[in-house]
Amino acid sequence: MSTVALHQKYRPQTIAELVGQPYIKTALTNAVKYLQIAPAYLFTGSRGTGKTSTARIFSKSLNCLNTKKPTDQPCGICQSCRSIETSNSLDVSEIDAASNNGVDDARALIERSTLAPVAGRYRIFILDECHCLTGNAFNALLKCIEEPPPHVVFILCTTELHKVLPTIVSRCQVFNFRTLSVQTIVQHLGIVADAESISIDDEALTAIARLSDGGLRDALQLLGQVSLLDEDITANHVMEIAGGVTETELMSILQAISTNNTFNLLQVARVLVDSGKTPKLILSNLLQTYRDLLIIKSASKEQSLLTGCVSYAQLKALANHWNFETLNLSLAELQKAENYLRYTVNAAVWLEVCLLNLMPSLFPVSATKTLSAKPVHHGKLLPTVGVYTTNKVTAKPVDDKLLQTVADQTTNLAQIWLSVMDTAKPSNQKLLAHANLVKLQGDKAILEVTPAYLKKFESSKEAIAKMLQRATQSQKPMTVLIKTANKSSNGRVKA
Amino acid sequence: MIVLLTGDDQHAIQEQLNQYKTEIDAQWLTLCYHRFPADHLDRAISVARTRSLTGGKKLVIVENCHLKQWGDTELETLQQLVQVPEFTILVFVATNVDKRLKIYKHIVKYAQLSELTLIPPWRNDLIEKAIATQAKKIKLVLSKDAVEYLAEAIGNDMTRAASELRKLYIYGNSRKLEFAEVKELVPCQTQNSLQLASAIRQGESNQVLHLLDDLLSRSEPLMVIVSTLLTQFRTWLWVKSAIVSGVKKDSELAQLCSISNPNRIYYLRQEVANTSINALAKAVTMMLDLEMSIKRGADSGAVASHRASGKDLLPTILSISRLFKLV
Repeated sequence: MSTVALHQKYRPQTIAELVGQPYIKTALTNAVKYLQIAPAYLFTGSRGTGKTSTARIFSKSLNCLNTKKPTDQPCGICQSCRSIETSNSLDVSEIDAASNNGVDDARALIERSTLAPVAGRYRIFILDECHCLTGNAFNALLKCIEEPPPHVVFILCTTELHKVLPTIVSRCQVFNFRTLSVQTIVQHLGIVADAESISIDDEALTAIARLSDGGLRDALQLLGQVSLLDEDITANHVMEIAGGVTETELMSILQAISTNNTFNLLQVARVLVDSGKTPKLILSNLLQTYRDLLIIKSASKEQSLLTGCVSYAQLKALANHWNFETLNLSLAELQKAENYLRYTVNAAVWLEVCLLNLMPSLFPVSATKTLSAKPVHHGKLLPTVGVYTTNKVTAKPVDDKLLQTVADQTTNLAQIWLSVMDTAKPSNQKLLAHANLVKLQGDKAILEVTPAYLKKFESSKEAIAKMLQRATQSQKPMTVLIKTANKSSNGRVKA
Repeated sequence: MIVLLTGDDQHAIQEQLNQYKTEIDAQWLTLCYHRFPADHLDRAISVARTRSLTGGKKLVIVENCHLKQWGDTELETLQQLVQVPEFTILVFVATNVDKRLKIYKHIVKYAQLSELTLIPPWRNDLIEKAIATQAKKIKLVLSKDAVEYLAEAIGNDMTRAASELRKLYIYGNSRKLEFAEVKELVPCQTQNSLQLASAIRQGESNQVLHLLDDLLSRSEPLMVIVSTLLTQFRTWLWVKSAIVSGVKKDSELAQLCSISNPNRIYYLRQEVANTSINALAKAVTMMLDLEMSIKRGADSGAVASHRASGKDLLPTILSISRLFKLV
């Protein structure tokens, strides 16, 4: 017996079976129920969201021979339904616009459209990938799409709406298919896995869903691939098959980075490269993880937006080690390294250097929460200079002279104030935003506050002092002075 | 009856023609309904002059008339307009006419002129009204904010408005539709991008994440998002810097910042009131960098797919939004 790919085996058969897209489902079901069929439809959305499936179901619904009028429950066994399934129906022509894109094809199509349907009620043209049609072909179709004979329905499907002529778009009923959320995909994968008796755990399903970028076809394809393994499938298996870096590997890299363990880091990188993962792949996976960390940092509750393969709980624990600036700088570093990797012959060395540069101890001033004002390139490591001995630049206790230089730079003050705001409770962050740190010298700090909030700040002076001390990692307790800001005429706080 | 239909509102013109079409006997449509392109004018006129076989009315349409391109021969043909009988409806359709032309003056001697121009895109109130009346016509009930949203999303393209309203009607099946449902079925990417811009300006990282995810899941091209953001932030920067340097008058401000609609100044003033000029300037530079890197494809080295580069858009946007957290 021949095997059928999962995404074909579980192609939805009725509109109700469509995964996701609740609004489109209702609209199309109503259209069929109340016989409000538009002359032309345009389905758009990214790959694997169900455009072509919907187009087929819709044409089955219109032409099903088992009922007297169009139905939202096509039988799937009548001659018409079966021939649409095998795409050799006389009334429903599924045209691959990518290869029939010329004017002549369009003219042939218009000619055929005047013929009455052979068996069904409608003559339906499904133009898949219709953005590939040439401008002339579109123009030839214009008139026909605007006023087709009453028995003709056009269904245009495309992934790139902006390539379709606006005059065409405005003549069609447009339905935008959204990419599916991770939960929806996991749910559907669960059903398929049950039906196919594939033993797979939830985390693995989540990993598949995240890898597939919201496209169900990709997800089912991957599920089909991993189902060939003869054991219980875990997230690590999925990553292995998809050719990515597994969660454990990523975690060991991140652990080594966060604990400043140079040797461990180098070792992990070596093992990874030896096991056949290209440096580029490792970097892009790291990039994704850092991006997830950034999301957690800015909005800690948004589990559904994560796309990497590291689980939420682990990310959450890691996120405590770093602040926003560090993550941002790491990301910039990674992106830069990704660029360099294209040009280098010795990718493995670049990978190691890049990883070492990610270690917090090697970061420039503001990011490490210490206030040692070092220019950016000093702490950094380039392959030419003494390699792998860079762990010395650790956080020194801050001395006043250095602080002075820092205080001159308002940007740095702003950053310190930002990190203070980070440590505060979300409810207090709004209040803190009304102040500016204008001076920081030794253990004295001066805050400038909008007059309306002066009292509130005065009353919570001690708390602010503590937060400042924590943010600057200074040994001595801080004293905070608060003054009102002079309002200029335009209401902006003068710094 | 002779009619000259002019204007760029294709939808309204089509409606008008359909209206005329209903006046002729539907059974004799093939004999009494004729459409001609503009270069077959002589044939059109001669068909219009003959009596219809059924004795009823007859409709002759001359499409895409460019009066400017018509010369003496056409003028000669048009002399026969006098002889067009009462029961023939002869319609000339032209997108725009020059009222100084001799030929135009000749036609309007016999024809009634009806001008169907599009509502100018900045007259939101009129567009809203037009959409509301169109909705009423097909018995679609919409809440007020839904109508406002639709006006913004569709603009003055009335053909599209008609098809979107039709779709909403089918979806709703004669029940009242709320804003949320309308928004799902008629997405408006530009408005979402503008929302994203204001979320960034307010430093609401939670909302930024959601809006960005929403935009990407509708496969909005990155460049479009970034350029919308860039335009918006540049406008803000201009307004803010003009205000800071002491420009007071609204009209002066509008001219300086090249804002076509002076009513917008009021809102822009409010929007930038609590924003720092430094942050705006920095945001604009960062966005330019972002645009550059998207154009070069520098940040989508690993995976070429659309969403993958969307992931790389996020860090920059987030750090821009952080600039504004500090007022």
